[in-house]
Amino acid sequence: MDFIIRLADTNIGINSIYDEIHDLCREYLTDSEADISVSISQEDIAREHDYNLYEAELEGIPAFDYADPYLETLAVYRKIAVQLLDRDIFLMHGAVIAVGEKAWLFTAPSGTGKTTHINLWLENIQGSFVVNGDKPLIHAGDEFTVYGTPWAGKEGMQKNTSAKLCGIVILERGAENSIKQVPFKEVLPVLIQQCYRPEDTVQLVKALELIRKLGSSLPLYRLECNMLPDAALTAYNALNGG
Amino acid sequence: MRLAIEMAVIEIEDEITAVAAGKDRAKFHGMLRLNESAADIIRLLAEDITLKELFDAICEKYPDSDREEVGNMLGNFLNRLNKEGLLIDDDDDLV
Repeated sequence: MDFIIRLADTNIGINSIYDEIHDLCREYLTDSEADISVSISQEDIAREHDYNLYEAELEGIPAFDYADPYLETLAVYRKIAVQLLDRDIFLMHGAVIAVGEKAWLFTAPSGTGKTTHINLWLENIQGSFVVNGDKPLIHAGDEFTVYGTPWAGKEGMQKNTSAKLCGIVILERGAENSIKQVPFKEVLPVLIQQCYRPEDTVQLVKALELIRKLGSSLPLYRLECNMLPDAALTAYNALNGG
Repeated sequence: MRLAIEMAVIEIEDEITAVAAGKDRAKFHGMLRLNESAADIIRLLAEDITLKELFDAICEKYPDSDREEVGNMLGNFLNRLNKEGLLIDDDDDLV
């Protein structure tokens, strides 16, 4: 089916095989003309299937046999992410939480506790809301803007909105809660691992250039935290005061 | 010999960094922090090259360097790449 969505101030035409991607994107549909477009073939879905098997093998875990309609949603986002690089927009794995017009991205390997931490914000920081809980888009302009997207992980925490990105937080588990600003060089490997890295070398260099701009423009933090409400308060007080 | 995985080379924060690209990029999760000569080697290894051609190219690029030092540096770096699984050495140059 054919439809158009608006993501990161860009109208994107989607030509899909299955309906699930349309359902996933229902909050982002627009009647405007497409600025860019992506089209999915059965080969794209087969490639996602192979990626899934390959990554499971590398991680030494059993591969889950995802259905084609779900794999198509991944293929669509992969193609969108590649095209948006030309507009200085990139995808980063992480959870974005905002208070008012300010937002912060919390990133860490899967399973570290990003969702647990942002839930602590929602429960303890008045006015906080999730922009995207898993795969937000970031525009690197004069300032950095972060956007909600329909691709929001298992919990589906997302909002069709944008906010000014004010910092990146590398989240780690700890017994006590502490946060400190860290130099770009120290967290560069994490930022590279957590950004979407295209297969094509030229596109990959573009993504890395955007990471370079991000890391040299925004404050970067390392947060060690537990699962108590003080974790959110510690982070918010430091980030909002900084 | 050549790189087993495509690598994108970019300078970030006064450091040259190589990141895995291409279809097999997931095989190498990390990144390499390189000095200038190591970055040259990575670029040269993007295509098939013999150890001698590599050595000559580096000596030509850094004519003031001692050839023995270049040889040692090259050997150490290639062995590091090999250990990381980043090198295909069809000619067994490193044996």
